[in-house]
Amino acid sequence: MSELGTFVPDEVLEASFKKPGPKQYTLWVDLEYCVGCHACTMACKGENNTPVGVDYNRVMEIEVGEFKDSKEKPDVRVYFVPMPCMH
Amino acid sequence: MGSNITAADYPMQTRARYLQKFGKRLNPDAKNFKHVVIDPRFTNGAAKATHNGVGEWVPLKPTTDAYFMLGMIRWMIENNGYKREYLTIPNEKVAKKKGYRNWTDMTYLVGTTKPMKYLTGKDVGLGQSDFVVLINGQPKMFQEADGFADLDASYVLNGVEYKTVFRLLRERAQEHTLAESEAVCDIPAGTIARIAQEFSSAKHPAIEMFRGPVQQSNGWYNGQALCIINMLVDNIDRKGGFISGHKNYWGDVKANNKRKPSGVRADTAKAAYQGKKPTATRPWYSGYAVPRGVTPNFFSNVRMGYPYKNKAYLNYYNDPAYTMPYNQETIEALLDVKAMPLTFSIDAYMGETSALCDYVLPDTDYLERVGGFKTYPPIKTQVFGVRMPVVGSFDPKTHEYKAIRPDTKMGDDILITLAKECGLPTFGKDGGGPGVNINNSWEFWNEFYSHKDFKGGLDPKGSLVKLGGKFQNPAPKYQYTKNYSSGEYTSFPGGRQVRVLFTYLEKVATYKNAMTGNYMDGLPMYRTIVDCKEQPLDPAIYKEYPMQLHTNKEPFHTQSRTMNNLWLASIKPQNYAEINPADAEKLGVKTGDWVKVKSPSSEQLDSDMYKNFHKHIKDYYPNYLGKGWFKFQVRATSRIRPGLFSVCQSYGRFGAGSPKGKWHMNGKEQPSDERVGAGFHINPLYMADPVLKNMVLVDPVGGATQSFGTPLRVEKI
Repeated sequence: MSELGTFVPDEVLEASFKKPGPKQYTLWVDLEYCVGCHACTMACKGENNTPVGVDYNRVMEIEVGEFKDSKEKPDVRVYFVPMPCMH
Repeated sequence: MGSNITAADYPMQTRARYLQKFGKRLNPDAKNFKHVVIDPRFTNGAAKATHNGVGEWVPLKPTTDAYFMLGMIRWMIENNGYKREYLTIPNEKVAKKKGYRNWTDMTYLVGTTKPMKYLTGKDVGLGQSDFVVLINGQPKMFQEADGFADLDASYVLNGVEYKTVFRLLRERAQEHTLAESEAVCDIPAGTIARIAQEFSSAKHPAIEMFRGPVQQSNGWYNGQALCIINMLVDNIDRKGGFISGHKNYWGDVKANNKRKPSGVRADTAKAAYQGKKPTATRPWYSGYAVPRGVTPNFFSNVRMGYPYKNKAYLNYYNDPAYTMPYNQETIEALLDVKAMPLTFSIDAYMGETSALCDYVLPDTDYLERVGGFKTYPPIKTQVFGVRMPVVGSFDPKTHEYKAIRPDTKMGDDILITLAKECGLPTFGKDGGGPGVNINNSWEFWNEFYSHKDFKGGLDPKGSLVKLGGKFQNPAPKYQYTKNYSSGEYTSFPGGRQVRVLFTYLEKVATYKNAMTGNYMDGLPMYRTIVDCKEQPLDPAIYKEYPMQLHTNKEPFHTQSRTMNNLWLASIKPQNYAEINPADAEKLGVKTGDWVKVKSPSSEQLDSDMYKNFHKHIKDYYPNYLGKGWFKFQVRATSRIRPGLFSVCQSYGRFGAGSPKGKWHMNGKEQPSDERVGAGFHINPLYMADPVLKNMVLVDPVGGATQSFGTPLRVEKI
């Protein structure tokens, strides 16, 4: 998703690690690795034993752009965004 | 091309990882890596390909793959986009001298009268049956050549012209212009030339496929064309190239009195036509091009008693009543007591097919058994996985398996019990030779793992069982060899280090289409959908049925074995008919609206051909409206090219726990869950062969079903 401007440059990341004071941990998911297989949803379900229909973890599929004319080069993007449950 | 990378294949994770290594932005090669996805659908793989801003999606019209690939071949030949030196190598001697590991048949001469065979040394008077090449216009045995042979040449002998394979290929590719091909593929002008140019000038070009190009009535030739493109750029078995060969380890159960199958198969595959009339009324399939048989032809043959009547049918872990395109023929055959008087099914679930069988022999789950698993193409190393049950237990003495569920047995145990009851040799006492009993699954596989590549059997302390298989070291230093001056080759070329690669397939060219009596072609052809007589469809059909059927796969579903898992079913509780927003506008519908759809042959559902199935059709397909029309709920998405009607092939179950396929045991109705049966199934909509009328369109050469591209008529309800 770097092309959408959501990419965190390495130096920003490094600087945040060096900041003094108490640490707040976060989960950093590299979206370039996500292929939309929903295995994390199932893993979360297995770990938390949630009932069918209740998923703490989900993967959103975001479709950007429109392709309607086969005589033109398509400009479509699809992004998979895992939304971890943080449990 | 037509390869649902990251969402399909065994195992999908492997290729997803390869892809990410290249596509990841921090990789030094990321900006140089271009991944082009040629597919009617913007697959998850395409989503990844376009992430680095370099990759591209080419939304090809289904069934037109041959035009795209032969167009690429044409451009590459005409614009010097191929490795000329490599293609002119005539034999192993010259290949070694020049630093290559393999060579091609591009310089070999082939006759131009049918059946088109390779010219042999005998024909030219050189005395042997081997191939002949031309050196400066003079014929020579291929193995006697010391240098390069003539590439684009021909030779006349006794009034018959013999052409090099390269010339035949060039002439074939030049039958259509790139503009004509692009019009058929329905892609922007200039796409083929641009992709071919980028491909042939890349440092490590490779084009690969999975089921997309080959599961079609012109599938054999599509697959061949794709391999030829790889051969033109000399990347077969190369590092960064196209690796054809994964190889697995293999064992054996030794016995002297093993039986071999004989006679004609019920699906008339793996044989030449053996009837008395000049042409057959049903298709036959070559043993060379169809190594595994043709299931749709089995069910259609069985209903017609061709070539003989069926007495009994044993189904093992297969669900053709649900999975077979044009499945009304399968269901009708199973319901017709005259066609299939006695049917058995070994299955872990009460699937659609098992529910229609006379006897069901409950299997344990597929993971709960002794056995093995070979490798699939993404694995570059030699592998064999050993599978052992984990829930049930073995009797320590007899090794009989005890399942935890009542009345279930491992599939292999059922088969061995049947074999023993039938008195087949090689089973039971001393079945595997003196002192080696084959009474159950454990004993069979213990013996299998004691021979050839394996030793020690299923010894629980042996490395085979401890490691869960036998694996070659996959470290990079073992994967490639630098022994060749022209570049690096893989160390795992399917077991053969040195080999000739064939462009022209004489075995196909000398096989006759049983229904026409004509010889088939040894080179890829410009074709879209063809029927069993290799004729294109009547163009009038496309006018009346302008849309095209297409199917897709979710990464978290198989076709017929996962919808009864409610966790997986809950990820996307139903499927939709996915259509392009342009078509949605044309039809005047939006996501969630209903449309009705029919195909050129779906009206046959109301005819006498399917009278038994028709009694159940409202149960199995509640969305059936009659007269061949089905209703579907649509979803508009730009991930589908215009003109398509794409449906995920895992939903709309009428077995495996769906209430649409209720069943009883001991008079008691068994539980069902409507979530298993949610969504839509499209198989009855597949178009039947216009000549045969009772079977889906099947590749006359390779035996593959026409899995997409059925012309459809879609209307708003």
